[in-house]
Amino acid sequence: MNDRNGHSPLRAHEGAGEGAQAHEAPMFQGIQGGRPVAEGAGHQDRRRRSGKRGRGEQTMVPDAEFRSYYGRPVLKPPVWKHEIPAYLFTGGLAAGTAVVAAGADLTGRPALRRVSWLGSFAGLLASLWFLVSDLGRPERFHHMLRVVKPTSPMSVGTWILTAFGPGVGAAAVNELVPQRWRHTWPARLLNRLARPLGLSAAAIAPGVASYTAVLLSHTAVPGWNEVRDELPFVFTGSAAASGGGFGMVFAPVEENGPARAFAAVGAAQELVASRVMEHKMGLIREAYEHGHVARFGRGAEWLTIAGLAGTVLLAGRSRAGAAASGLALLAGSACQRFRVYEAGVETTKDPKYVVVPQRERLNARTP
Amino acid sequence: MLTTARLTEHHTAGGMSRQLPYLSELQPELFVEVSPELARMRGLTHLGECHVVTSRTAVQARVMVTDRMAPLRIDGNVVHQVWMPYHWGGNGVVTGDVVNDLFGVVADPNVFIQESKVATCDVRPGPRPRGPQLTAMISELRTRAGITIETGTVLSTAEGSPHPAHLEESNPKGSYSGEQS
Amino acid sequence: MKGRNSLSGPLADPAGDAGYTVDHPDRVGFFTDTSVCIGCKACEVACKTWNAVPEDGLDLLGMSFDNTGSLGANSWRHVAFIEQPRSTGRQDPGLAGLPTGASGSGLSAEAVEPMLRHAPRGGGELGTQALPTAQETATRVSPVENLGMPAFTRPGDGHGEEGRTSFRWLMASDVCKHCTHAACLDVCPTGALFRTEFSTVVVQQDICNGCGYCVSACPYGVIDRRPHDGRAQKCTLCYDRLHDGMEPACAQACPTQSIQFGKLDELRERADQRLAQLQDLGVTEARLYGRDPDDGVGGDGAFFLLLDEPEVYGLPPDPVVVTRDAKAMWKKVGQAAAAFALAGIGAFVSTAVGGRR
Repeated sequence: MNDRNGHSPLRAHEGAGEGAQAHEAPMFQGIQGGRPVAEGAGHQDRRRRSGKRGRGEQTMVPDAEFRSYYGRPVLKPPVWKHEIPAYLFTGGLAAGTAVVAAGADLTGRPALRRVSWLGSFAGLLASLWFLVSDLGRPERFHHMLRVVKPTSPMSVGTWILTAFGPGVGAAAVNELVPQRWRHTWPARLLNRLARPLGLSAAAIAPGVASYTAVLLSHTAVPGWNEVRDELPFVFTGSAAASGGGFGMVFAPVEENGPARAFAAVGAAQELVASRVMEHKMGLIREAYEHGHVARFGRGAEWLTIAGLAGTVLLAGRSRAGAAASGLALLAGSACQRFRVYEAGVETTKDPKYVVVPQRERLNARTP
Repeated sequence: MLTTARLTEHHTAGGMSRQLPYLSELQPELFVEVSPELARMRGLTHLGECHVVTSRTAVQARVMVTDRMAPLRIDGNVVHQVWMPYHWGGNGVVTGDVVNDLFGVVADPNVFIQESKVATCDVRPGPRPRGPQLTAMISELRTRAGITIETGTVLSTAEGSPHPAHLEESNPKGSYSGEQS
Repeated sequence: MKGRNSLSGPLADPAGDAGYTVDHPDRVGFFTDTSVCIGCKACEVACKTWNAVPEDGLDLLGMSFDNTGSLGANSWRHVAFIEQPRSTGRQDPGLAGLPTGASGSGLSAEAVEPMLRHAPRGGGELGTQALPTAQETATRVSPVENLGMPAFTRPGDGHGEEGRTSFRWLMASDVCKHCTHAACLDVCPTGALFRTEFSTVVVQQDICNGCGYCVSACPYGVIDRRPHDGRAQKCTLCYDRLHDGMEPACAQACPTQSIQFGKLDELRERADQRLAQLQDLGVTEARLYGRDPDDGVGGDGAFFLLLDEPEVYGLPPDPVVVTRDAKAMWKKVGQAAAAFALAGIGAFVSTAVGGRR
């Protein structure tokens, strides 16, 4: 095996196999007749990379040699914690259930409407909790409302959520008003506003479901930025699957038809988009296909496939089948969000994900 | 050969600079620079712990393997050299062993500047022995090398023949250099 | 790109583009000539002293004399040290004739890099966490074959290759680049990050709520969130000193004028001259980094003269500001949102049409 510079290590090696003795003589062999180290080939910075330091794991991408500063990462890893992938899931859930709820409202499916508005509200509250608690200074969360900044997906998302929230809140609270208060004027007013407000929220729901993809892609993180074309479809498919899945879990079979359809289309879109995304990946594939990220990915795929199959075959017939399929879709959706998030984090920890593609790009431009 | 010198980040014995976080974080630990050849010979790993041993004491340091240290050829012999900064001591934001403890109390005859640039030493991997074990190790070394506390401590002045050095009475608990914790 | 609020491409006047009136000061920045850096770290100390930046970890990192590690919330200047078995131009390191073996310059990286994997955040933080010692990681890490003898025995290593005769020690003071198109600024949702009248980029500490979006957006890995404080921190180019007509603390402290501060146009001219001078001297690997307004971030307000590839110093070879692709990304988002809406509508229409269920 040649060393990194292509030189045979056996040249001028003082016999005796690998039992090089710890005394001076072997060191001087090199002066008589050994081949010089190639100029500029600093061992300290050249590295050959494969998934697990070359042991065991086969990767689909060939090893790439690159230089780095003592192997240190170039980028900073995200400061976010598990709250953010959790929010990706609950936000998508809130959006999906809002669409189902509005549709159920318009097509006379009261049970589906009720569970979906409550699910959307729970998702919204959980989302707000996750987002605010993940801040470095949570008490300053309202500073997000200081500016409207189209170059910042987080600013756009803040305003999308601000527009989305009241409608969901109104509709959900309307579902929760106790019977004995329903005749009071505030309750009757709310009841009249619930539908238009709910519909407005449902109209904004596509934004809630999709902006999170650009939130992640609009960064320097290779694992997120490189999949920017497919990620919106993965995330909206996932949101639809979870929104419909939620309805399948909690609504009776007689009313869950649209939830099933929505979930099935969403799950199918998520699976296809995810496959396309994986197919087009370059070096970041290694981050997506190793370790805990791969486990999340497999979980996402299998749970979604199982959920999709159940939705098509069982959920229209049996409540248990519907519930199981819905739960599978929800779990699969959550796994998908965590998988994408964690893959991105991994790509910031290893400099190769930054250096190799950029060096290739640069060399292609300036031969 | 052991030679000592300064780092930019600390000042002389470090008593002042080690109190300052901004300087201490720039050079937080005592280290010894060794050549790759010596590292290979003595089994030293980069960033590992080692101790530098002279006939007076041993100090513990981290290993920094660097190309900047190179073996020398003197009179046909290969002589390895190591380098240490001497800025550490027992107090401050960062602490470490005192490198100047390694040298005998030998001063030049004219103005009595300590002879701290030229000493022979050994570099051994692993943490140094402490307490009585350190004393024992040094004693054993001295016995093997035929060194006593009188070796090399002859006072030589312009007045004529060398006089024997004035030596302090031994500390009944053991030599001073072995008492660092 | 022309017009206000440009998102990428060359931009002569970032402050004007950001909305300052016509009489704002000229753009200023740094030219860091790493070929004359002596690695004294006066810039690090001066910066911390002036800006009251906290101490950032008392750990020996094993990266030559670099115990700072990288830029971050508590290190706004970072001096990098790289030892290489090659020479710069016609310099002679004086190793000829010595009984040397192969270079050991790879050992630092071999020792440090596996430890980074066990550090929190993958080493993306600085020396704030003690890296496990070599002894602690010995069972997990095997950068060399274990022959039962003390050794470093990678193939081609120390087995009689001709003794090393070349050596050079690269030193470079890294800093926030104050990009022409600053991704951190563009993605900040609170408006805490803003473009100053000097065309630099500064975080307003009374507004930042620590969302951390800037941390992920920066292509150079500069800005970070300060632990126990929660807000994002980075070099301000001593905005307060600029108001008083002073130069930044690091530039003032630098004893070799490696860090040069001034109007960006003048600095670029000076850098071009210095590059030509070095190349005439036979230092062909010298290059300017961040000087070109056509690069992915529109050129940097703080640019460098490097003596090797950027990645050797820990810099990205070809950084691109995220906003360059923003329009395309939002277009995809729009398509996905439309698909989502259509699926929702379709789910209800189809079940109404197909029979109530």
